[in-house]
Amino acid sequence: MIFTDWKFFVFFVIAFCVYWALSGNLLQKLWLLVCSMVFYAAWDWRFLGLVLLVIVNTYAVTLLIAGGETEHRRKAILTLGITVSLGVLGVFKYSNFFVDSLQHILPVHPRIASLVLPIGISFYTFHSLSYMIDTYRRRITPTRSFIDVALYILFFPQLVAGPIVRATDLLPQMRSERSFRAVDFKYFLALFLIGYFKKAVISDGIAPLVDTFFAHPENYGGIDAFVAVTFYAVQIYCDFSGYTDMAIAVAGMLGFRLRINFDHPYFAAGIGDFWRRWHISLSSWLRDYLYIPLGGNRGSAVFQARNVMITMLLGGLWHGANWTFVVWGGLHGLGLVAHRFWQRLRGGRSGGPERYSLIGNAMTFAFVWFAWIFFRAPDFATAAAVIGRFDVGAPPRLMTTTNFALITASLIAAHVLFYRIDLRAATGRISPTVFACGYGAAVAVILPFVNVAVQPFIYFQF
Amino acid sequence: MVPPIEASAADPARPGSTGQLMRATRLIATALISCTLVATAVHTVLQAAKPAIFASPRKLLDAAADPETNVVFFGSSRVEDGIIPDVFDETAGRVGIARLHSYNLAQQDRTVIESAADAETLFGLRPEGIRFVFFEPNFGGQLTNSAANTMRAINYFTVGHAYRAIEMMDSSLLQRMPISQTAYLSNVLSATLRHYFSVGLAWAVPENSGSRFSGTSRGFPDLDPYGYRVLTPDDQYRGQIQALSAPPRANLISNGQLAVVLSFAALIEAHGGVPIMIGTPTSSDLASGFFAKFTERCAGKGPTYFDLNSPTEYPALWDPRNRQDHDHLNAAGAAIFTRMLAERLAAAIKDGSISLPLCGG
Repeated sequence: MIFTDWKFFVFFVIAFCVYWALSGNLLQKLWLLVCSMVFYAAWDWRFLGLVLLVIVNTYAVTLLIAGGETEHRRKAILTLGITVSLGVLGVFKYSNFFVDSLQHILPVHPRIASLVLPIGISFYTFHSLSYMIDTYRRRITPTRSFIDVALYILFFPQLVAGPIVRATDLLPQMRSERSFRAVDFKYFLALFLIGYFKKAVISDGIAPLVDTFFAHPENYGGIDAFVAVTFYAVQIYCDFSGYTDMAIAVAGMLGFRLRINFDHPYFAAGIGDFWRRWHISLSSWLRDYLYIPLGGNRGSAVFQARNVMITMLLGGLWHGANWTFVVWGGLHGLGLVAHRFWQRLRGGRSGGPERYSLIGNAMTFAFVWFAWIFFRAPDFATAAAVIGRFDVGAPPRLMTTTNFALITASLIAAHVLFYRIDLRAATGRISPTVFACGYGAAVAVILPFVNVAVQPFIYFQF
Repeated sequence: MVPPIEASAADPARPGSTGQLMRATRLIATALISCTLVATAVHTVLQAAKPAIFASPRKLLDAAADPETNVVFFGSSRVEDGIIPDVFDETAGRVGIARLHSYNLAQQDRTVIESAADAETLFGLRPEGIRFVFFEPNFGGQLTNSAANTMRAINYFTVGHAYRAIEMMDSSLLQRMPISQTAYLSNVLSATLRHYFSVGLAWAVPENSGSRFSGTSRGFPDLDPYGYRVLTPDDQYRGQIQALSAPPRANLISNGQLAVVLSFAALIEAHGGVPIMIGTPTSSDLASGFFAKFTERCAGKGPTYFDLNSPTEYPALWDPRNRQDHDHLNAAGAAIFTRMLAERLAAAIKDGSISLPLCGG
């Protein structure tokens, strides 16, 4: 059950109506917990046990940390809790990867059963880790409510593909009663439709073309390679930002606020700026729980570069158990280090905000564009084949250059338009009746362009 | 940190008042009406821009355009591969029914409800002149299963047709497709919504409905190499023939399914045609079950039923040399089957059984 599937609409209408009909915060949360379990079980009910293990671990560890009398004891409990949560992630997501990698360098060939990747495991593990670490750092007082902890980790809008929500954001919202009248339905409905359009029309519409190219890049020339990689940049942005738009909207209609996860990343003026705009919840998570503990911006330039590289390599590995993701993370790490070095040369503050310039924007996009090849390619041979096609002169087969130019220009125009529009303010100015009319019409116009061969969200695999 | 959303006394946490509910209902209704109106406009634009995806099967249009057409055959691939119009017309002339000009409008996987829709289209294009309409009461097509997401299903599923499909649904049918009740219903609902709201139709490709039809053979797939293949009998085939000797089970067919077939017959009569059901030589127990159900419920009443689904009575139709596979006749078998039908028609006209009063009519 994904957000663009009609089954989700049925599910959400029932969840929404019952939720707001229930009186009392406790009942509402219990209902949301049931809905979240149904939502997760729709993929594979067997992995609910795994999520429950992470929830129990998180709940127990946070309370034990809070009750810890000495710093040594608190640290030991935190270490144990992190080990359990990361252990689950390691076994289910990375065991096959490490065994396969070992087999390439060692003369041993252990036979282990191939494990199915539980959907959303990377996301709910990070929810668990941030809550435990924030408790240890005394940034949050752990709740004694098991329901709150379970709902924090299982909350269905953000369960399987984020955004990675912090306990400091979500738990306080769970403690207080949510108000139906305070919900800005016009804004959230519009946001949902925009997310749906990004995913079901743009991303899913582009996906078959990109898949065709990456399945056999050797059959195409340089123009097709350029078209396919550019469209992949569009596909992954629309896929993931579309999902988070819908997640924020769904949570919003239930009275919960989730932070934005994308802020027009392809308008970034530099690679550091890109990571402040792309998958913000992950990049800020990596910053707070990995980069800063490693030393962050303290120490020498070499020490800082080391911290950046470790963070980005692990960030790459978080995306998938494949060396291509590690290389993708490594490329971004190198880009960040190089950019910092350049900032120092220019006398600016290393790692500070960049001023927008068209050249900086174009260079950043070109760099991100190139790195996507490693993110999309299933292996290095495919990535090398794609790169090798750029200097092959052959007439385009995927689409005509005119069509490509028209589509790209339309996408850029749409992106600029949404960059300039304040959606909340814009929807706020419209009367409910006009909004209802416009919304119905917009749905009717979008539907013919939906790719009905439902594609799973790219980030579900992470 | 995001501050919690606070509730206040003047700002109730829940929607409760009748006024609020009425307002919400009015807004939802407004959105739905707006959506429906714009969807209708979009559908009209799409019909003008991409007429091919909404077009009826080519041979249906050809049959309607041919002024001499007065006999048509509807059904699944068993009829499509089993009826040769030239042979039918020639045999009919030889046995005394002159000036018949037939068209084979059957298509792969066509169920009885789809055949009825095709007949409606034909009668819309040709309100008069169709004398005999042969049809196979086939239930187990893939319209609600593997073909549920195709233009064929989307074009078919109006609200009325969706109702028909649901009327047809029963456990024997679902088991044989195979598909769950939920999946069947959701496929019907999804195709119906796509029909009215044009979901995904901007990218749709036309159905390849004419691929086995040259345009010169009046619907018989004369260019198909499979039509000349000869079956190598195996244990499965012998088992199928053996199974047909068992008494047919009328309870495999529901009253709803029988009603759907009878309403198709009534539709044909209403347009001045004579409905004739045909039992093709098939291993499907639903076919023999339908004949049993029909005989049990409609003893002595129409429509006329030419049941040729018996290995003992019609051994030539079960001879492996006349079949291309377990369920279909080859060209040689089709010629035999077609001649048999023409001769049965002549006999029925002669003894007056062709004009039986319709069961339930």
